[in-house]
Amino acid sequence: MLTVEERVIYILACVVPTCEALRWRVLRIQRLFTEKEPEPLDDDASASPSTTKLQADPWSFDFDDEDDDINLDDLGRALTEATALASASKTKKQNTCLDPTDKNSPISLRSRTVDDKSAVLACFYTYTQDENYSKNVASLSASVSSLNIKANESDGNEHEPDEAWEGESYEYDRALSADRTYLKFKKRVDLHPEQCFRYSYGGKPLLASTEAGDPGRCSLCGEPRHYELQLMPSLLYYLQEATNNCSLENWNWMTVLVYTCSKFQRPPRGTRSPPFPNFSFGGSKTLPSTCVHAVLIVMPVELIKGSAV
Amino acid sequence: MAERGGERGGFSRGFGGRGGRGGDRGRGRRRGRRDTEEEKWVPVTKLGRLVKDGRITKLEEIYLHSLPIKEYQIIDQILPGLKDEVMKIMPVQKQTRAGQRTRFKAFVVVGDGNGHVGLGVKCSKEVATAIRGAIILAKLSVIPVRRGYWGNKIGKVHTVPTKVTGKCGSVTVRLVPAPRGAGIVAARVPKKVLQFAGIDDVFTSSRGSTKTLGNFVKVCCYVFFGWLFEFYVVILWFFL
Repeated sequence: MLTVEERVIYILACVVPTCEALRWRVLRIQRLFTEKEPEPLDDDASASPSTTKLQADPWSFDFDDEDDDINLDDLGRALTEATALASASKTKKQNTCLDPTDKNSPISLRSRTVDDKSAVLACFYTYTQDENYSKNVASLSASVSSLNIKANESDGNEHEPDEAWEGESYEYDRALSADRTYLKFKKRVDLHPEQCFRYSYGGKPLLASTEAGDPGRCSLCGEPRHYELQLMPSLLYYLQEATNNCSLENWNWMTVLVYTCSKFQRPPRGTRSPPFPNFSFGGSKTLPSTCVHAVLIVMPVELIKGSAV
Repeated sequence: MAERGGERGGFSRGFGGRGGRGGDRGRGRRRGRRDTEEEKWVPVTKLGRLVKDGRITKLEEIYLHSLPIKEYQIIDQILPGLKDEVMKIMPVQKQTRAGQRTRFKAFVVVGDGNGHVGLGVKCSKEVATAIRGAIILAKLSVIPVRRGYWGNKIGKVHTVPTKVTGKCGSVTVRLVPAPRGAGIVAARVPKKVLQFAGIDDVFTSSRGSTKTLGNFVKVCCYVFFGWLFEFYVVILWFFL
């Protein structure tokens, strides 16, 4: 039997300009579909079920006797509250970060008012593309016309014969304020300047500086974490261009690396209680069964000294 | 060297005359507007975003705040008239078991002839790649050049403001202010660099193994670092 996994990674960060902590949080939410999950109810159960629907559901009568109606009501109420709580907490998190610009979110928050003044970032569609990076960058470059170079190539040798350049050896790339790692990073970004994310499960991240930090081990299972995806700085440019009321001045990172657990996890029952009882509304996609923190490494860009221009 | 003498005496103030002279060896390839050929620039650093928005238009503002320039497109946008020239392409060899592996090292100097100059050095297996990489590195290393007067402070600045020396390896180069009309009294390599910097008259004196011209050209660019701190004071005064 195939195990189909649903996996969502939320990367959350604060955009308030005066935020001192500049904390980032990453959540990995994952659901495993296996044959062991009981599916007592219909597939069209919605995310916010009401008690009436539960009672109207013909399946429920097969499980319980008539005199267990009260239990079912309680159960239904508890489930409703739990789901509402889950969706409320999720939507609240989304409100502080990457959120659709329309504030009328379909999941109603009963005891919560929508905050119109909070900063909202725009929502984008992204498409993926394989990066065909080869070492022969000369064939990919377009910034200098190769004809121009070849025509003038001989000029480099036409100088006075008594000038003999001596004693040169290989030299690594170096500029005034950019080191070799950053120059390689910039070269790959320039090949596809619009890249916002890079995804490679278990691959190697593209580092912008030599200190990458240590991702550590998974807090649930103790397995080492491996690289999964990273955010690129063009994201900042696009987000800043698209937003009106939100200023991303304090986002000064060059890239954000996300490391996740290298083993997929189903926690054993009872060790970590999920927020819902242990049976699912069949087919519903809003019930996570695992909630694992991933680890995030933020690579900062240089500190800008002095006052901003 | 009649051509050289002619250049010394009659070196024109403007930079555009340099490329038009028949005897001039420089190629002075004008970079021009190549944006239509290149892909659109998406800035990666905060400074890049500010420059792309047009909130920073002068390099002096960047130097004033000591902001590191990490994208060469910033320089492209602020100084569209930047010229570049390949000083030398030399093969560099490494001995391997299977023979010798040759790579090419390109020295490129960029400058606008008006106070900004940069040097880039890049090694690569192909000449074109080395030149292209060296141009990018040179743009990243552009520094401001302070110029001054020899005597009376009338007209435009034309020479170095003080005597200054720079050293790299065993090569030392000393620049001495010169009166107007003296021209750049230097060997071919530092003369190129000083022309790109926009210095019209200067006396130079060099010492050490100037045959290692890699060091020689680096000295000529790094000698301007000596004025950087004073330069900030001048800029600050200019802005106030």
